[in-house]
Amino acid sequence: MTAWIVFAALSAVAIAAAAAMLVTMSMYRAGLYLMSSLVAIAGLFLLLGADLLAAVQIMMNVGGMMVMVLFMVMMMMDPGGESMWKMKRDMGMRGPGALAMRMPNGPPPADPKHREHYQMMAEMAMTTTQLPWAIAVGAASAVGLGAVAITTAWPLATAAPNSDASVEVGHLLMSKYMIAFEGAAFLIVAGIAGAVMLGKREGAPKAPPAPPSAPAVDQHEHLHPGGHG
Amino acid sequence: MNDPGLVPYLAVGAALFGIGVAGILSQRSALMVLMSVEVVMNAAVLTLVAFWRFVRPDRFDAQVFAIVAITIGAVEMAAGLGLLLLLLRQRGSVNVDSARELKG
Repeated sequence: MTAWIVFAALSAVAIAAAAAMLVTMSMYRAGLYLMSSLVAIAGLFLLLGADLLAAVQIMMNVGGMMVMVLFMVMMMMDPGGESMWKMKRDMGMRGPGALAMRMPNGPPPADPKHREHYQMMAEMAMTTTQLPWAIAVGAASAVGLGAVAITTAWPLATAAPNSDASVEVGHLLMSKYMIAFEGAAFLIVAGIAGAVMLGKREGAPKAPPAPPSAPAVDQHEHLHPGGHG
Repeated sequence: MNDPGLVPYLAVGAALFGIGVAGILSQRSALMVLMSVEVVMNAAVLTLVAFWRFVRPDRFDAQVFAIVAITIGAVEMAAGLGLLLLLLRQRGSVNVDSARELKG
């Protein structure tokens, strides 16, 4: 019974936070919602008895999400979504959060007042014109997968995992799945190198201009008092 | 009443997957698309762990697979953020529909 209550609470948080991520107008809040969804899924891992995976989930995914939130605060024009809220209020738009900020469909209207509204929305909209279809496809795939899960006769095992998972996983990683382990390490290196290369500013100033000669010499002598290498 | 079995976990995974798919298809900001991809990946990993627990709890291969999947998700996120940074510098926005042309 307790397990059911914990399961219901965790899965409600996971699903509601993932949905709220799409509805909120603020990028920053969207990141925090995704983070709480990931933490709730880590809780579900704990409930399933996969302690190691719960720790990995929190360290890698939630940590990565934190970096993403920082990125948003640094890069986005309006991470808090305040101007979006203001615009939505001023225009008197109804509907749940970002889902109401939909791109206008069709050609721009001739009436100048409506035209202004149209152009503003085309610039600021948070969701594409395909929103109803996207929601329909998402709901259909969720319902379809749920139906498959319910109707299939899964070959269930009755036994519970009895040995220490982290020991077992460590042994597997170091013996049977050595290649996958090393491949993941290589992938991480490639990912870091790729991200640095993509993020590198092209045509940036290569080095700061050389300082006037006198202080440089002073510093040099200060670092190497003898002056003889 | 017994503890939750396999099907409730699969249902949660299906719901998360649907939410992620809706986000990927509807959001305009590439950052939100990336975050929705993360939701889908987590739904897949949750399903995988549920299958491990209820179908083959004696074999830990599924956990290794889940760890590798989480690693790949993290790398994908890093590479995606690098691409976003590039897009932001070149075009001044991270909207996916502002990047219709592939030429720089």
